[in-house]
Amino acid sequence: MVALFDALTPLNVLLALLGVIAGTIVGSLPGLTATMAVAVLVPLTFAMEPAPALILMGAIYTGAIYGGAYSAILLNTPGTPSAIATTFDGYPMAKRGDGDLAITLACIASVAGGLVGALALLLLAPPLAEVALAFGPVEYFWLAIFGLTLISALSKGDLLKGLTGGFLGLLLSTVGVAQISADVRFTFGSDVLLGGIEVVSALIGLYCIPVLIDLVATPDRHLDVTGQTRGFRLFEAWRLTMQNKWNVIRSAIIGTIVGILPGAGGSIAGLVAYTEARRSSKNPETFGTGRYEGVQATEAANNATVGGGFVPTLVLGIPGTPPDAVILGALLVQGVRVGPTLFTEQGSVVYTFIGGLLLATILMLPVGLLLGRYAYKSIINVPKAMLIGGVALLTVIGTFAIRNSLSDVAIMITLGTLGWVLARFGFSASPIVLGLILGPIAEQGFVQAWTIGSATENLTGMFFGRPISLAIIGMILISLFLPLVKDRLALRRPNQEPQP
Amino acid sequence: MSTAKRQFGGVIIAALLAILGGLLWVDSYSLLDPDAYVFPRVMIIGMVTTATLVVIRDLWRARIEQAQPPGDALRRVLLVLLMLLTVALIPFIGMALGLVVLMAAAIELSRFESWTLRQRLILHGFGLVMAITFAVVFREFLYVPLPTGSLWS
Repeated sequence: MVALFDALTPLNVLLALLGVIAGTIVGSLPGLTATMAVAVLVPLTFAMEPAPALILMGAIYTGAIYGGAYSAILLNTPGTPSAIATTFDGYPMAKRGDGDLAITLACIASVAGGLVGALALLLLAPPLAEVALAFGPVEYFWLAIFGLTLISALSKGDLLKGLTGGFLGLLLSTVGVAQISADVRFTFGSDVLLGGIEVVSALIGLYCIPVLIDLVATPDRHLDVTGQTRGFRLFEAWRLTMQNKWNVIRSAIIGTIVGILPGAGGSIAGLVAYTEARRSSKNPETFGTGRYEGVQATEAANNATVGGGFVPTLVLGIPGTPPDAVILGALLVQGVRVGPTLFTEQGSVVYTFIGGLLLATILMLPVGLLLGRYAYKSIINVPKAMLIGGVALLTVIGTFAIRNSLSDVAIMITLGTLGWVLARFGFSASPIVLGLILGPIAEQGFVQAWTIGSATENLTGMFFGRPISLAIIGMILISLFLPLVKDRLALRRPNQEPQP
Repeated sequence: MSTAKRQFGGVIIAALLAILGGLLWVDSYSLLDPDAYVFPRVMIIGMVTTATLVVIRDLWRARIEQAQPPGDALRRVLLVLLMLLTVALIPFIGMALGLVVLMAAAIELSRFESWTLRQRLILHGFGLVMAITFAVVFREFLYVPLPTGSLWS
């Protein structure tokens, strides 16, 4: 544990600072992912000692997850998939002129979430890793479906359209070469579709292109900012955070637990936390119109997944997220052998790394506030023509950079245009994107469970007979039917009131 | 757009999605390995079921009304066409020039008020710098192999 303080050398502090700055900038640009930022850096870290190298990579990862909130709040385009739910209330806040407050709230919540995740990694890693082991293929399938039902229930009040969009997203994720059997599926002979639909490209298209299409059609300002900007609004944000501290803490715990599950990631964590914040609110119907609790919940949860994701990575050698996989590779190159004995045999490196992660999370507060303020001022001051041109340019080059593929760019624009049409008729983009994200996890879990169930001639027991599965199915049913029951009760209530 | 119009449009979209599900179902018969088709078929059943329910529900309360979304439809179409055209041109003219063209055209497309020559030069100058900066950052610092263009090779 003393090694925690080894992270506080001038070099490590500098690396953590640079990492957070670089990560935040990368995360804020749609198309540039935390994975890409960490992967680009890996060769540079080979010449470093293990601890500084890990601190740099961890800091970039932490910053990138937070950075995704900037574009989610200011452009309605999540910089990273984990910021999808941030758009629900962050963008409406920005539209009404509270973008600065939303960014500061997101920063404070991200720091709180990051600290909870890192502390869980520090204090509870080995027992928490057991949770990940308790999840089999079928549980991952049901978890993915749970994520979809959550976002469908949040889909502007139209559950059926949300579910249709979720199924569409799941089907889109199956286009291309099948991950298990390697069959070519649903390409209809097109080479463009052979590589499948890349998730981040789809995310950029479905969120960014509709915003561009609407921006270019009217002379209205992008954000409704009247008068002077009001600084960081730090005290106001701090007061709101203190008023809703349980929301932030609960969301951070949700993020940590979901982060521990390999593959689940920040997008599910953000959605679960958002739904829980909405459920526990006195005014759940106002969520989606610019409620700060929604931004707090999502951002606390998605940053908590960073620490949570490192639990199975370090203790079991199973990377929780793609950036974890890259960092795991770098760890192995550095000669660090991950596994249950890591904390005892190579404790100094691990504790220094966790110390660095805590340091990077704390540094995120000043860095995030300063960069966020700059991003906000830039977005509100830049002429609309430059904003449209700049965003269009970034969508093209950002999408190309993911797989060096112009087909991905064409798919991104096409999906975005379809997304605009679908949104006009009440089919929200979020379930489609989440279906795409969760598709591979859901399919792998489903096919493995189906294969095992068929072999043991117990398909029903496989899908519906395991305790954790049943618990998740219960949550799915609650998320599907609770809003309907609440709506029905709300309709009845006025009729029961005595007439004056 | 009015709610009634939206509901009718929703019926059409849901019906199209149900038809898409049918097409995908037929296409899934070209797959031989059960591991490849079992999951998509379950999802197709889900999508067709929910889309059909949307059609039934919204037909019940649909009204046909003429309504237009706010804004200039031509600009919307032109922006999408411009982006697709840029993607088609990039293999020939290269990414950097493609970005410059896209930026310049998008700036002109977003113009609602009249600009002086000075304003126009400043905006396009900034646009040019932004496009080139992005190209340099992605190529030199992020090591993305941007297309250079077959016309110049």
